[in-house]
Amino acid sequence: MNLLFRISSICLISVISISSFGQQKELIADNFTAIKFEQFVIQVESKTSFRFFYKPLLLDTVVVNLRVENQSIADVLTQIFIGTDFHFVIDQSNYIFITKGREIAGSLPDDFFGISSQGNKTISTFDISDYEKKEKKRNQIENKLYNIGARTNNLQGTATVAGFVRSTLSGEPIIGAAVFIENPMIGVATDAYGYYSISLQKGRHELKIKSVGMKTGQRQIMLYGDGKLDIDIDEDVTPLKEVIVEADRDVRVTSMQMGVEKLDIKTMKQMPSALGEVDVLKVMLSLPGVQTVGEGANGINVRGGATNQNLILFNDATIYNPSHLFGFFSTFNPDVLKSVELYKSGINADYGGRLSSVLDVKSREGNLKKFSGSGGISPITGRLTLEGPIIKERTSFIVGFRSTYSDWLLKQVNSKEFENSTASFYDINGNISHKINDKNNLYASFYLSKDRFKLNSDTAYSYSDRNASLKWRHNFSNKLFGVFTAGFSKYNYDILSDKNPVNAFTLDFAVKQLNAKADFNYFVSPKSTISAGISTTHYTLWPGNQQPNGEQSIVAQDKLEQEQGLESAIYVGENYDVNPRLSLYIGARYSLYQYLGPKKVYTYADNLPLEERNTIDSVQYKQGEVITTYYGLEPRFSLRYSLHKNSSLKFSYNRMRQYIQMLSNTTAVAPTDIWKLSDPYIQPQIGDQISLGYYKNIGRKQLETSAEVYYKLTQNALDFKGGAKLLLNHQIETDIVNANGKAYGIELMLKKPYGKLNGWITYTYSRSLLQTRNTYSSEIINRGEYYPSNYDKPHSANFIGNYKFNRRVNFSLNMNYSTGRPLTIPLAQYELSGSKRVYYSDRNKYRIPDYFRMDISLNFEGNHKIKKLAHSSWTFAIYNLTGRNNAYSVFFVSKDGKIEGYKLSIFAEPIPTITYNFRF
Amino acid sequence: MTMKNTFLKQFKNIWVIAILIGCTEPYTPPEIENNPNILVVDGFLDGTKRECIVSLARTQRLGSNEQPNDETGAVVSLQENGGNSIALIDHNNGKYSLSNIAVSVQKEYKIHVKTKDGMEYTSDYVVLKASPPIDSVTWEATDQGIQIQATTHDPLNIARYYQWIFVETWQYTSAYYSNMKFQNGSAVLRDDDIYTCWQQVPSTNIIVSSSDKLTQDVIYKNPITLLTKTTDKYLMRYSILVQQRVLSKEGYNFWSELQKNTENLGTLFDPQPSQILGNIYDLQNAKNPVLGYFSASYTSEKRIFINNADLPQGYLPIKTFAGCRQDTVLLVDLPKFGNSSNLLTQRIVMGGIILIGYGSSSVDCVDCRAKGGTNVQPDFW
Repeated sequence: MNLLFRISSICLISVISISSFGQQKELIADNFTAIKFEQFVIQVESKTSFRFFYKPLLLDTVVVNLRVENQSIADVLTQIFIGTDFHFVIDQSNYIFITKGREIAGSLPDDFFGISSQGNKTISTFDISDYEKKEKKRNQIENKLYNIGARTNNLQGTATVAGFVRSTLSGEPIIGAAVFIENPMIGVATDAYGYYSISLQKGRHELKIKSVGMKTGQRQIMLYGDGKLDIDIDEDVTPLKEVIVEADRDVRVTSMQMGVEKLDIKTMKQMPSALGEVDVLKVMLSLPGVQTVGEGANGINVRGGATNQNLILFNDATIYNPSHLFGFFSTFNPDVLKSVELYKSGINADYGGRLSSVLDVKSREGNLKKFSGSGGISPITGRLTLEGPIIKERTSFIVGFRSTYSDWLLKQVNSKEFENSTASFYDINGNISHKINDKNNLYASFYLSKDRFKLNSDTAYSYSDRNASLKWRHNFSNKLFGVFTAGFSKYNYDILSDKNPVNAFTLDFAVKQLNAKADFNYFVSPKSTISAGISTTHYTLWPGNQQPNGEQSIVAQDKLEQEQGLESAIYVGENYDVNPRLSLYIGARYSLYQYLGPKKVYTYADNLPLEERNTIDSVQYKQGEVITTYYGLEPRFSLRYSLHKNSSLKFSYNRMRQYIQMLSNTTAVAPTDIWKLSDPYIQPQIGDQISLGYYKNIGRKQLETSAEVYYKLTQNALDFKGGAKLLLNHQIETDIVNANGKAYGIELMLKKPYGKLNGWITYTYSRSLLQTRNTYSSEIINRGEYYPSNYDKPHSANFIGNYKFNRRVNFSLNMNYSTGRPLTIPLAQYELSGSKRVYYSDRNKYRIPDYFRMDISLNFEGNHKIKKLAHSSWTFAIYNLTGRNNAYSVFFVSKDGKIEGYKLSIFAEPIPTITYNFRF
Repeated sequence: MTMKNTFLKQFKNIWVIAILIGCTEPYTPPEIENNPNILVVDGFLDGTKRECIVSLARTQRLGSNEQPNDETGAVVSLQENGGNSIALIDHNNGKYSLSNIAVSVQKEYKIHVKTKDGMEYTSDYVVLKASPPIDSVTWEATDQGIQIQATTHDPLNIARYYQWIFVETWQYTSAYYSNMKFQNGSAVLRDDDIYTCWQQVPSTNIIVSSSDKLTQDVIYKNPITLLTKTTDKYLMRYSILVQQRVLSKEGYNFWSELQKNTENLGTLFDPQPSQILGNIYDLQNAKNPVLGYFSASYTSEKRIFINNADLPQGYLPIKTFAGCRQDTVLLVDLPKFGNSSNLLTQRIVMGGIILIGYGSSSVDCVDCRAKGGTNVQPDFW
């Protein structure tokens, strides 16, 4: 309450920027007998150089009755004002300011630093909070006029001002902040580095800066010519309703982009989570058009796409497996994250290589100003993040480490069932950013995740995903900058079996990619921005290597030949505002893929199905020899038309090409899934999507509504012959069937982003179908008719609600409903080889029961004192409150001659968690 | 303190269970349609016995407990590639067979079926595979029970794909020995032994294995069957006859897929089930599914015995005859015994001289045949 009062009262007092300075050498010797204060002032001013500034009205009741012998003016005033509510300040020019009720700050304006400005020792009762000081400093900066460019009288034409927007507190760049002037409304948004570039008419402007979670800032500029202006803005420490930034309010309606979901870490932290931790992928699942095949199944299905059709980037480096512990955790440490963006449609030409979506995960940059840390403890994991400057204001680091103690937990359970079980994981991610000078910045980012588990069996699995990237950003001019990136990603797993010494084996798989790219951004005018770039990626795959384990083992080494591929692309795109109502994005990407030797490629008899027995020959290609080349243009187009101030229509079309795919015939992402490069038999997947959306904000932008429809066609989608063997298959092409995919849907969303009660409701109707298009019966599924893909879930509805009781207590409710995923079910039984067997239906003809789940969570924040040793918060959550046994899968087992159907549920009971988070 | 510990433990248990094993419960999908009545063909040509047996049946509604729906009255024939077609004998129980066939290794054979509704079906030609002998059938006592294993090898490295079927036989007794029986109102000496029986059960699981990925064609201790600790199979003496067949690669794929689809599903990372169709086709419409498989191979058999004296200490199961109780039938009550469904066991003699009556108990406790076995000792025993 106290704090609130201070914030509001600061606005009432006109603050004068004067320092108190003990210069008063002149001593007073006088007799003041019952005179009015006004008279006292005249007397003192006539004999000394002191000059008083005060409101006579305030002081007309003050009577001075004092006898002074060579005392300082401060002592005199102190005596006069003793027991009253008056305060005074004396500056170096011997100006005396008298105020009632409050003292005046004693610091100099920001740009006066260098001149000694120590506080007046004689007045020790100053009580200016940090907050007020900062606020004042901010006001000083905001009211100061910055001259941009060389002073000139010629104010004809336009000039460009550019720079970084950063957080005052941590020095971290602010992404997506709006930098704009009003009247006329001209604005830009900062890019992924916090960089902005805006071209304006020369002359005087008030530049405003708005961003989510930050205070609105402004700068007075006098624009003479091109120049640079870095802007620091404050974090919004007390998220009052009134202060919540409005900049983003219009984003859904006015921004060019459609089918994009952007969540910052703050929003994600409010949502209830299953295992006491913020999970990026789980949060994504609450958004329209994003689904999963089941609980504990990692990988997301975006708009009817397969799990491997999502380009998952961590600071621009590709992630192959974003999951820990069978998908119960995502590999992104929430403390390191800054933002997560998911593009479902209207994907810009900058991105390529996957069909369905782009999930762009960005980590924060370390605090440039001071060393700090954060962490948390939940029943399953512990995590710690440290950040701070390496060279103050220039170089900073952030590193997050997370690990599980599930192994320990397993040991605590005295059950025979878990005797042979282990499960553990850890991940480390972070980055270092370095500012070389105003024009050059370097960013290094790394990521490592590792999992190991053994579930009551003799087979141990482990997998690991690691990547690193190095980025150099160079500003060629205010209007042109380039980013040069080199990156490395590697995903590998191994399986180890040692129960039977004769058959003991190890099996490993790995995929590695090396990539380099150059991206350029050119701010042509406030109406037009052009981006262009080139990129190349080299893939190496080790598709499987089985080796004997131990001396007794007679397992023969079975090594699949290494595969290589090179994917290159060039792109260009332009954002163009035709007029305030119509904006366009037109772009194109041209990608070229080469499957490279050395590799032995089998050839098959013509006019016969692609089966092992129809192999006729093989061709050995030499190192570096091009085996197959695929290429194609990927046009991208988006359009936004504002119908009204509060509503708009958007349209987009994009074509994507994918040259590397995951082969999986299990329903979820499994640690044994393999990746496969396109080759002479497995053609690249091509996806086309058109999407149309209508967006409207209702009632002073309090409610956001949107409706998007999409239609998507996929060529060369992959499915598998019944019971296909994907591991260690030398002729994998013989187990694959080619299919065409078709997906369509409508996504409705109602969102209340602000207020005590906030949240969203979504409903999605969508279908995802496949059709095999082969000629031979063994390669045809369901007689060549369209059949639902494994992740086709037509109806889906989500509700997320948050209620803030006050600034420290926050309650969340999350509800999730969807149609059960498709299932191939047994239709009849028969006896064969002495046991009853099951005859299965057409593929994916039936469905598992519908899914419904409700979670709640309660967040308690520590007190909001800004200065304290550590900030902490507690989260109490219950996952699956109703304890509904949602089916993860339905399966049938023939046991002792009897067929029994079973339903497997994960998290079939309400799961309580307590998480403690801290920050220092 | 104890309270707290219990709570903590409970909390941890919930966690581990929730996360690692989830919850499995019986479930029957509501949409199970009517029985599609598909023909099921199980055919095998045994080169060693020079015998071909084909079983025909129809699919049944899921969950049905009825006897297999046998297909009788069909015309089944075996055909050698380039040779004659010979008809199999219809045994009127869905089984069709023929013995003393002149077969030769590496020749190709197929079967042709014409059902009584006039539909015709045929299989692919399959090669009559040679089979190396079983090297050994062994057993090991493990924590889970007695594991029976088969070991074989083919010095020529060509067999590669193996299938095993087996017949188990074990000796057991009823709870009470009986040498008396009730006949025409009086007790007479029994001339048959209904105390000791032998049970014979054929294998019900698919057991296939391949040495495909090994440098040598060696199958070492491949699991055949597991006798759990609670079984009564090794109460006295147990025997297993293991027959080894050699499969083609396609046959191996068929059986292992069928096994994967119907015996092995349900963990998180299992492949999706799918329609497993074999090498038999509907000649009228290739799209109509036909279930089952026809294969041909020489066979090799091996029998072992496990006497309960061979078992390690602690392996002897406790002989329990739960629910068995012996009553006394006094001589005076004997005429009324005809109304009882119980059986007599032995004389009850007082002081070694005076017969006062007979012991009696229920059929299940006296006649070992009630459990399904036979009291005729098998030849090999």
